[in-house]
Amino acid sequence: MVAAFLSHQRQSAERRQQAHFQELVRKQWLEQPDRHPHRVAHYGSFAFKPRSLLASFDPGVEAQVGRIQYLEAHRQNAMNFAEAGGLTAAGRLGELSPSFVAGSLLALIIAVIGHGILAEETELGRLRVLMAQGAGRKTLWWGKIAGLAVAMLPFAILVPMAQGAAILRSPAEAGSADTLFTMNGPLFRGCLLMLGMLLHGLAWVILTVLVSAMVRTRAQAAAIMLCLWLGSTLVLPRAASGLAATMHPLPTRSEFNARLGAELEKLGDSHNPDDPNYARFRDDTLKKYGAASVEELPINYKGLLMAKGEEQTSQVFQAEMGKLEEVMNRQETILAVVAWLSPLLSWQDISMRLCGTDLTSARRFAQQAEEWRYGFIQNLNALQRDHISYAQNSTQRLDKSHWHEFEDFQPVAPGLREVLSGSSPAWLRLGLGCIALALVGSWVVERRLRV
Amino acid sequence: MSGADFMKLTVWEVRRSLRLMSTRITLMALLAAGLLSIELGQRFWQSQQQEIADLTSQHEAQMKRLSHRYVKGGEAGYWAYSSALPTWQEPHPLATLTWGVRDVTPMVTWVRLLGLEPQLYDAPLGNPKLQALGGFDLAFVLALLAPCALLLLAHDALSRDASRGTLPLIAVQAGGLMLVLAARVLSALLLVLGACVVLGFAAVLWPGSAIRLDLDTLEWFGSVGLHLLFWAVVVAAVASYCRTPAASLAASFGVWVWIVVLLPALINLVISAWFPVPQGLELTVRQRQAMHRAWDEPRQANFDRFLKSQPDWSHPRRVSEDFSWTWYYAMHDLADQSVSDLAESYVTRLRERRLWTERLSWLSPPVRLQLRLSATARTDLESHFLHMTRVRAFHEKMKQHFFPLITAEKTLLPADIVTFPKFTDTAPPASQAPASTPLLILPLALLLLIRPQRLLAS
Repeated sequence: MVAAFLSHQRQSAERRQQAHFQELVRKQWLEQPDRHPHRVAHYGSFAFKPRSLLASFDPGVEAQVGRIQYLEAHRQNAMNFAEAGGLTAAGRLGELSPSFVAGSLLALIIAVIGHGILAEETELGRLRVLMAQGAGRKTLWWGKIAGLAVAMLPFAILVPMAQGAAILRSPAEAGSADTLFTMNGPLFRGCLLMLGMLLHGLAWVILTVLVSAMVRTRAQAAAIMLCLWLGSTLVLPRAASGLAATMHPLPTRSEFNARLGAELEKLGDSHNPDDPNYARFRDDTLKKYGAASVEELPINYKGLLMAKGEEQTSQVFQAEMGKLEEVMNRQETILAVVAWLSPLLSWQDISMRLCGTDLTSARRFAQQAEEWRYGFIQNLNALQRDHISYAQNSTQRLDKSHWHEFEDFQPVAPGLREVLSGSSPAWLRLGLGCIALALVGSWVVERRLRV
Repeated sequence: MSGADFMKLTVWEVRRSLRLMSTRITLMALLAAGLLSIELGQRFWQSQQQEIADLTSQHEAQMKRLSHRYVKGGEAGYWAYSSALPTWQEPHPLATLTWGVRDVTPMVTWVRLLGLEPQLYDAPLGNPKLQALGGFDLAFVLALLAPCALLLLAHDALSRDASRGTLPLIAVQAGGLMLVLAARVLSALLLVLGACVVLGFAAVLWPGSAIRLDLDTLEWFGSVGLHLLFWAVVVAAVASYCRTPAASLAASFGVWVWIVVLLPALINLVISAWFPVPQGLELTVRQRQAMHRAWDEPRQANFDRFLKSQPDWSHPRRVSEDFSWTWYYAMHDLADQSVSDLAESYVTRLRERRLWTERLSWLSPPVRLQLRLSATARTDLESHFLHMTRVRAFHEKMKQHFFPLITAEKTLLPADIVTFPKFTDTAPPASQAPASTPLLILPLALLLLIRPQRLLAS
């Protein structure tokens, strides 16, 4: 609950700050004096990823990726300006997002209250009495699961409720009723979150009862459960992260930049109308307009060349970024395998996606921002082509009235259908895990539960 | 009971414990996790070394391209514009075991003569999803998992006899419950410390490892040992209150969860709320505003403002109203100056954060341990700041080299590349590690809480 509150506080502060900067940047954009369009292309713009209401429940990867992208000519910046979240020693010991608390502590609570559920009966000899009273082993198994599941319910609901309350307490941010109550709105997503939470809890319930059925004493059951908890919430996710990073290493930043630099170098310099790499383009252009030299062209050749250059650099960036993404995808398949052993990983995947703070939505945002950036820069290049003369290219300025023609970037977040299809492997892992554990358990109990 | 008898009892307890399957599994798991973390750390360290080793060839390739472009000579301003020179900080061998902030802060920076501020904060490439999960280094294993192993081995030091009713018997035989408790906790501590020593030697002897048995390494493992001593006292204190193994396990594990997981996270949340670090966004917005304003105003007016900040300027004081490189770099310098307060507060705020983390780590010794280990391994915030300071100094050196050439409108030839400034890396000194006082004082205070006698009264 403390985590939910603190996290919500911090998120509100950041949201206000982001809104402030968004307004400031827009204002600065409109207040630009007469400028050369290419100067403005370097001046650039910013893309702001709106903070989803549920982000305070699970900040996801936003602490690492950031939510703001600087958009300028000739290059595709990575999303940057991440809050320096990892920069305290304590931070490296784990962010206490409500989602992490809800997931890991729920599992621990289930282990603590449930480890003795069958072991205690065995240890104290009550099992025999129960059997004598006509309780079948199967009944006992399913009954104990149901019992523990009911016992964990209040804990499972507690944190999401606290979070919901924190959100609803600030109605200004919660938005109007019609966005709140749609299928894609935060309330419905919150319900799905709770469902995911319950499924995750159920996996732990079944596991706990199973372990409890297989050992003779409560102490043994407790020790095994705690080790399982430790392994699957603290050790496995980190070990998997380390393994994935070593098995499919990303290039270092220097390596990446060197390769990118070499690729870009091959294209030539689009600021220079005499660049030999663009000789063919110049000849084609001259032929198209039937002109003998670029000075005679009815349009500003420099603007045209700039557009061509932008087209090519943008392709190079896309290709190089694509290679990085490919490596990251391979890293994620390792995580997905490990997630079979660590329900927490599946839960985190579900919760990040529902909260709109996962890597996919970050990438989607970056992609949209890049498309917008490309259009934005090409618009400016077109203005240079049509409104600035070739001869006076270095001194002429474009009237500031043009700045009003530019709209701000409006990203579209993935819809609920997409979120659910993205997280379907995680739902499947949890669901199948529960079913498999329950069936195995039922089989084991039938044979092994010692009276 | 004499000292020798006590030692005998302890050794006997070690042997007894080692015969138990649960002890063996616990220790093996700890060793396995430790070895995995060493291997991962080794890869981490090697990739950083490799990155630094590759800088020379990357730099040469870049210079070759430039030589090709300016084979007949080019303006000094152009050369400076297209040259990025590498700076770096080599990882200390112990970075293998303590990644600290090294995987999220830049330790290699390519510096151009342009405005420095936007160049300083480029973090290393990484998969954000993996970064969010956290790193798996030996520091993590020994700060979190080793105490846990200790709990598993020693939590039932008394409760196993208390639940069987044999506690009075043992107490009489051994000459006091305190001694039984001490011998049993000590034996568990010795086992876990033994595992740490094994891991220490593994780290030194690991193929390709640069870790030597020097003072730094001893200090590193010494901190780990002190931290485990704290946990031994915690276990003893908890054990003296619980009558059943289930209760002692739950209680000691509960304490562990609070100290290791919840408190550090709460400390982190509170501190980041108290000391917001200025955002890179603000810096970029302001820098961009300063730079593009410069393009809109008369060049001389702009250059005069630059001159005001350069009392020792001995070069021409006039610039043409057409484009000139002198004006261009002066403008970049002004843009840097416009955000210098933000850059400063970035460092001071993070230092404040660190200071308060250090103060609040009285509540959570593992946090103190992490601070100490990363300071010893030069992967703490101070090393990050040191790198930034050195990059700034190098940028200054570049200015001193290029500004005279640029203002004199010199033409440079490929042969002049050898005169370009070169960065030299020197091993960073260990930063001031936070004292280990809490690791000594907290156990002493906790000793007062150990009251096994009450377990005998029924």
